[in-house]
Amino acid sequence: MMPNSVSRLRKGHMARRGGLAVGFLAFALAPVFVGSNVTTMGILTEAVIYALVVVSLNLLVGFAGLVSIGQAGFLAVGAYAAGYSANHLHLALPLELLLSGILAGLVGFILGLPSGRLRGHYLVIITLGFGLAVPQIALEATDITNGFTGLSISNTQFGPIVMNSPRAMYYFAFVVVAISMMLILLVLASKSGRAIMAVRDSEAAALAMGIPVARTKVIVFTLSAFFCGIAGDLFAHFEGLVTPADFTLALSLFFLAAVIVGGLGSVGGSIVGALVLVYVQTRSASVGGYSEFIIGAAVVVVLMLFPEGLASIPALLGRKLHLTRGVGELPGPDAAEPGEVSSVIAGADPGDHQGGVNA
Amino acid sequence: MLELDGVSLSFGGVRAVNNLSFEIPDGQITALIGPNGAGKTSILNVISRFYTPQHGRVTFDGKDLLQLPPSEIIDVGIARSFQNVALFKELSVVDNLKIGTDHRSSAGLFSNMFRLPRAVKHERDARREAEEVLEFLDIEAIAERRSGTLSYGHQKLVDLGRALVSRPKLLLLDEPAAGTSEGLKAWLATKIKEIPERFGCAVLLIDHDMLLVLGVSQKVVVVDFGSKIAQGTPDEIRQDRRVIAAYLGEES
Ligand SMILES: Nc1ncnc2c1ncn2[C@@H]1O[C@H](COP(=O)(O)OP(=O)(O)O)[C@@H](O)[C@H]1O
Ligand SMILES: [Mg+2]
Repeated sequence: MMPNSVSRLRKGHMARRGGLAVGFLAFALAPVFVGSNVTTMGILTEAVIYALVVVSLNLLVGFAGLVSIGQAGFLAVGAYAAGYSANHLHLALPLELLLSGILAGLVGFILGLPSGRLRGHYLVIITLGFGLAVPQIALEATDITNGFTGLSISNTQFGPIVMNSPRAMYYFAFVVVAISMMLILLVLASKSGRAIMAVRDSEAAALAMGIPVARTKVIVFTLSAFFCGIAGDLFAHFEGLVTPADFTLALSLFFLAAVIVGGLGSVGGSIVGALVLVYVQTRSASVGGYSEFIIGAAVVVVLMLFPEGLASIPALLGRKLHLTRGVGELPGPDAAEPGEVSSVIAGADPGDHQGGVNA
Repeated sequence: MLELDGVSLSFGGVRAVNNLSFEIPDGQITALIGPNGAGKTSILNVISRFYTPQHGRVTFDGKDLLQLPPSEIIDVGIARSFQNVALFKELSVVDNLKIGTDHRSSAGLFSNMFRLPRAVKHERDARREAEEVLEFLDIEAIAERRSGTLSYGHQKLVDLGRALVSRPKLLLLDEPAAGTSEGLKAWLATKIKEIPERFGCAVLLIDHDMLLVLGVSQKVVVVDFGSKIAQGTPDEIRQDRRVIAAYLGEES
């Protein structure tokens, strides 16, 4: 039975790795096909940056089961950190990205502190308040944020490489997002990732297994905010201007919708969810004023067809094609012969048996 | 090894555990039996620090357990299963078991993110140890299945396996066979009997199924209405009047 199970383990991993490799190649090669179209490159760049935001939000909502509707707040922290660095600190790009991530992560840490104790509704209110407060603070803290006018970033440069074309900007975003996603996937496939999902599925069992539940929640908030802050830094470079009006509640809800459309607890799903919603948004922008309505309708349609999000499609297909085994044919101890172990319970009067079923 | 001394626990007016004292010796299977509602699960919850008793002491190898938070109980060497199974249901069976090993890894978020050597080593150890326990419980075939989609019997096994893989000194099992088929019950009894020698730990086996319990344990503690009503070897318990009365009482 050993080799059998081992080969099945490998198959699952290989399918997942294959999917990742295909996705990576598709994004890496996209500019070869659409690189000459400035508008399309812009949309793709936005989608790649949003994909990181959506994955970071999925860490909270999908992987940790912590609702957050203020993700645009973390994006703003990262974006303003980038704007401030570019205008005042003039850090090397990797350092600037790291700083933006750390600053947002710090904010996430503080926001996450009460999350260890608070549940459901309270967390929704806190993150909502945070998301609404950040643009207000940006508007007031004019010394740092330049208030209503915002901060502009004139050029994006890494050593001798100047990101002065849409294609170069795309690749810059792509590389940073790809590295971030890889780190997120490594975390998820480790002890740390298991702890995050364990807390979501059963706090009691998590505690019994030695997982500090409250601390784990704070860690997820910090991690989510860190990567969202990095996305915010990219966002600032991509837009070239950061203003308080960029970070609306609608944007936070857009990210949440992408998480749900893609599928809770699926990194690949979040990437697809971001792509799909950015596409719908772009298309619907031409039907002036109805954009949000159309996005909402798209979300409803997807969820009616695939209640668990787009990420569930491969599994659904697999079941249709009978690639996965049915429940009934599993081997295992359920098939054990009752008679073969009577020696264990020998000595007891069968009359004592109380029909111990207590399900 | 584990010692309860005068432990009392009340919920409002309900006295779930009443001035209870007993000891769990090293390397053996101690059974805790009693009718439904006798307070068995409450006692297990006291030991694993989910409940704090109003009175009494609980010590393990001389350490005062009541000073510890629930998340540190596994570090002193006590692991538990859950009466109604509490699996990480979105995770695969093997990941559930790996979590049982995770408390032993010192790798933090940073080490895990950058796959530093200690994180890599732990992943390898975790998988190997999980596979050993999967094999012991004869569930390698469902290693990659999402645990929430399994039959109740398989879920009970995963719940037990997750506690076992943590290499505890004391394994607390809350009705591991309840709600499963007769075949699985009997098979499980043989497996539980093997645990002390194979995994080098003591077991506290809770059940209200006398038949299962008397066949596998070396020591039996009987509780009713939160109080200890008898204690002894399985043979002594079988003849104990009060035990028989308590059980007949439940049946009527
Ligand atoms: N969390 C709780 N809150 C209130 N009462 C409880 C709680 N847990 C257990 N009890 C009560 O304590 C008594 C013992 O329950 P329990 O320990 O589950 O018994 P057993 O496991 O022997 O069936 C019961 O009367 C039960 O209702
Ligand atoms: Mg119970």
